[in-house]
Amino acid sequence: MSDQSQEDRFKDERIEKALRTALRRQNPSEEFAPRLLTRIEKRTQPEHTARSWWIFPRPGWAVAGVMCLAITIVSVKYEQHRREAEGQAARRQVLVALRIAGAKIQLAQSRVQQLSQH
Amino acid sequence: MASNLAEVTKAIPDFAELLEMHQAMVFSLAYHFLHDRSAAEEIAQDVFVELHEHLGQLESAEHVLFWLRRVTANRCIDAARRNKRRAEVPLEEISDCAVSVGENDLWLSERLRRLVASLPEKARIVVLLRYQEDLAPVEISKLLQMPLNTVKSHLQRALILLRQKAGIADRGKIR
Repeated sequence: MSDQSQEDRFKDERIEKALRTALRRQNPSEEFAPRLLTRIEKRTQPEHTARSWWIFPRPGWAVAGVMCLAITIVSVKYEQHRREAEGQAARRQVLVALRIAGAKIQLAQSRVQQLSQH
Repeated sequence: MASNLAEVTKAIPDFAELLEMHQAMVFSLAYHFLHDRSAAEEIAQDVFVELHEHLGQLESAEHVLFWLRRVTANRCIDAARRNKRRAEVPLEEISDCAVSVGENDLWLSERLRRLVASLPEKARIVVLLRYQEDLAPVEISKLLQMPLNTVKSHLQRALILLRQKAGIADRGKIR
């Protein structure tokens, strides 16, 4: 074997040794495994939750639904009642205004008659 | 959190053990390939999520190891191709260096890691499988579905380039 090929083989051995040292395995961060397991857990959850929500609604959801419905009905009724009351009040005010206007017209008419008699 | 982890681990037989056994291998392949810890962790996460989905299809511990290496290699190559837009310094453009032997082995290791990360993708994964995973060229050939001679020529060319760029030249010295 020539000196040149021996030299090349030696260089290859050195670079191979240096590479094995440089490329030793390293561990990922400590959060790696917990993050991965949480990610897998999340991937397996949504399908189950979505299905069970429709088929077996939890009692908490039912109570919340009924309360929302009750609050909506009460709000609508209250709004109707408030509008009716406002309408009645407005009607009364219009009648009072008409009465006052009628009285003023009568007064004006009587004054006009008195002036024309004189 | 701890109870959640325990439940998941319990619900996935053997998965936690596989994770413990192979996380360093998967992470290191990706890290040495990309030279970026954060990107390497993302790839490793994706590989293990995929393993979890395919666990039922794998037949043995050897099959799992083979599968993990192959999937990691493919994902690394894909990621490198996607990141082509990132400023990369081709190996040919990295200047040669001069340092005394033993003066700074850590420095040499870091330089070698950078040089390996600058190799062309196929050559890079071949070098990693050879020197990180200590696989024989014939095993690399099967894993990457690459002709044996191509594996050998990638290794040979990579070694010559790395030897030149890392400055390993003379007997007992790094020039």
